[in-house]
Amino acid sequence: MIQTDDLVILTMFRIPESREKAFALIIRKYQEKLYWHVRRMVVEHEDANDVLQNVFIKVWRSLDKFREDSQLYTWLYKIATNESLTFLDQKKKRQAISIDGHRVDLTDRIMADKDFDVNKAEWKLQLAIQQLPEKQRIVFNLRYYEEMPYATMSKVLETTEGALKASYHHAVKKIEAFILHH
Amino acid sequence: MNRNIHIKNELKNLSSRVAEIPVQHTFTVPEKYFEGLEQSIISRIRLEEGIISAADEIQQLSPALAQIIQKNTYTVDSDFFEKKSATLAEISKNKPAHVVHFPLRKLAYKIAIAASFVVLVGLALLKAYQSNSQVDLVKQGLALQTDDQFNEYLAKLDSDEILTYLKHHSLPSDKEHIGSMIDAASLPGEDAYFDETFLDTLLITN
Repeated sequence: MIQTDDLVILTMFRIPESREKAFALIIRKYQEKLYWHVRRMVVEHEDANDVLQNVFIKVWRSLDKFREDSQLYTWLYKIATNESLTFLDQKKKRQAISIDGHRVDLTDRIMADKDFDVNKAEWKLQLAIQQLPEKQRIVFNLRYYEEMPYATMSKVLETTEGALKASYHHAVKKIEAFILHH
Repeated sequence: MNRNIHIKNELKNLSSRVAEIPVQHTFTVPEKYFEGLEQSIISRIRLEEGIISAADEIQQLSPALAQIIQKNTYTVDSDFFEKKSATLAEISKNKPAHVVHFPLRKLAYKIAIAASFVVLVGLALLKAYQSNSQVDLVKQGLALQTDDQFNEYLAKLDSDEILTYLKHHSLPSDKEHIGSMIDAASLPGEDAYFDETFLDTLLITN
């Protein structure tokens, strides 16, 4: 069921006079959570900012169609995940056709971060996460950082809870192996 | 960071090594990023929906520029505007302003004159068109101005065509004129009208 405060915000959104105010409340409430979810996927701040803005623009345009039998939080995460994946796909394609042929992957971007320290476990973890297949990476981030229940994650990623548990299990094992070998 | 105990245990069971890593954001965010994000998104929405104010527009174009306090960098004397008002009041008192009237009636006259002109031009064009049609008819008539030409043209016409024309176009005065030209004495008696052979011969010979 949808949370009461989200229900109030959605009701406000349907009234033209309070539409913008309601939307500002949604941004304020979810911006940080969604930002970090997107940032972990696209790594760079500028990219995360672009994706997040697009996410909220999409939300603004389609919030009227949002069905109240699902949670606003779940719906927002679904949009943010899809937008991030689309962004990464487009970026890959752009790099594939770039003239210099030099491809910079997400690992390079992490290592280029001004705070990067290879000796710190949390940075090693970041490098390990980038080695994971896309789906496992998303599942690991949502479970490890967001502490998202499998039931909610199942709605966001449209995957069964059993498959998500298996993905998380594989992801943790691969990360452990990476940390042990680096 | 307070961890969900269930999730923490789950991780510990999968990998104690990974579970030992402190859970924290490794990436950093520019200072006050989240404070300005809401305004930035709302401004973008307004821009896309065409409801943008000047303040939103500059916020969208350059957030850095929008942060600069809008203040006049040039200065004037503190009493400049009072002095200026007083000077202007003095001038207007000494020399009353010349008011030029623009009565609305003038506009109505202009519209009426323009409409009349359009009507006149229209009538002239219509007249010219009609005269052209009449000129054509006169020209056709003139083409048959001699008796010979008229007879020649008439000879080409079928008798039925002539009869049909006369039935529809002859005037009572024409009938009277034709009647006056006939000598009643030369006409056969009434009994002869019922003799078809006689009538046929009469029509053929005449």
